[in-house]
Amino acid sequence: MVSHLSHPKPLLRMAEILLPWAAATSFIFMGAGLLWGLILSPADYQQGESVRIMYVHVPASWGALCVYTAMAILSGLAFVTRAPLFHLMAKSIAPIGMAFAFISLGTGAIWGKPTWGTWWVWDARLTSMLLLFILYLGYWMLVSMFEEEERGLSAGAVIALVGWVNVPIIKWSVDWWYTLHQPASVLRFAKPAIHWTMLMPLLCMAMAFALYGLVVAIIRFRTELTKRKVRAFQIRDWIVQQEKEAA
Amino acid sequence: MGNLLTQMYCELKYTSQWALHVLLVFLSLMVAFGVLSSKNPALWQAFLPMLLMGLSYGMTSLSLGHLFRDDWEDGTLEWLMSEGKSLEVYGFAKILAHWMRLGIPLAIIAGVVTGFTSFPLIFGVAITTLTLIFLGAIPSALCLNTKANNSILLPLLILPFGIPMMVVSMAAATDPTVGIYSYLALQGGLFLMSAALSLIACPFALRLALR
Repeated sequence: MVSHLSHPKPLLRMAEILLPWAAATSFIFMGAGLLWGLILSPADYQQGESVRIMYVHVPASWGALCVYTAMAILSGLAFVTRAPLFHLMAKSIAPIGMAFAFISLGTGAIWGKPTWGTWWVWDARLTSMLLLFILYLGYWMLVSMFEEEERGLSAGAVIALVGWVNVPIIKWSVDWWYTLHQPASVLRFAKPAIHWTMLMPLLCMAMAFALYGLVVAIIRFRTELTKRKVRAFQIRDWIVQQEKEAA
Repeated sequence: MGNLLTQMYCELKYTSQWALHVLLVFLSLMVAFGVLSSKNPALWQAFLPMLLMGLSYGMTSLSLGHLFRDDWEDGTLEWLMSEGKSLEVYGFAKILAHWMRLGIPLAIIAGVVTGFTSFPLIFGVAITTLTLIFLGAIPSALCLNTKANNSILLPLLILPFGIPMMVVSMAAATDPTVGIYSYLALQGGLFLMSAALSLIACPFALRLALR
């Protein structure tokens, strides 16, 4: 399975088949989720209409965490199998996670103003999301600062892996330091604390975000591969030309 | 062990004076804050642990650009690699020597400034800098091959890793309600974890840079 994934051809074929379906489903889920969340679902009895920001805020936060995990897994696979394609995949999904983290922070600030009365507090969850964003930023800057791209990719992979080990520690430490944010209300061991009329549109939006991420990941990955192909052709042309001149 | 000690001795004896510069910057900042808060001594008392902790973090992360850079530029690293010397021992020696030149003086300054009244603060500065150097050695090794001398990137990469240790040390220095041993256990645990992580990841990163 893994070795199958590490060759570009079958992977690209799979991506070609997947892309239109993922895009269409994402679009449908997004429409349904927005309609349900913004119009049909009830307002919160404490927070009023502003609770609807949740339908973007929460899926984006989940997305940011999932993408980082995926990056760490891909980086680990890249070192274990020595297949450079996994590095490329990790690099192509990094900006998606960064965008999700940014959306999460931005919508969180907008939501925080009417609810808590402030744009930003150094609360545990806010801080850990900010640090996740900084991890993404550091990864991205590190990867783009090398002359040879391959070196940048493997350096970034080390940071992604080490950062992944650190994410739970960061989460724990800031939780323990200070907390104001409401506790998680969907992912907990007891029954979810959120009513199903809000849960369903939320899950709908989460699905839409996940599929949207997949679509962008496929497009970005395809572009990265095409860039490499172009470079390979350029090098081949250059060699042919050198040989002609020598002859 | 002997190898490690030799390496550390060479490191402490033959490298440049940057640690002194970093310490001077630290001292000048402390003097500046002292003068600025002299009209309101309560402010100084309240902010002192945070200043010491925050400034030691800043100074450590700024200094980490030098950790492997000099050896990288003059070819020492390449020589070590070609001689088949252990990069694990090299990295460990480098980290310990760096801490002896930077972390211990910072802790002593912290002690002098507070009049040696707060053991958790002095110990916190010492172990936080050591943990930061262990963790920061990884990005420091990774940045060796970058286009320019990118010491700007390092604080950004170190920040997320350094936060947990700083938070725990800060709590230990300012919160008198919880027993000292629980904090010591937390600090020790975080330190050991970062040391273990760094001793695996740092030689790996050095090999990547030398490949």
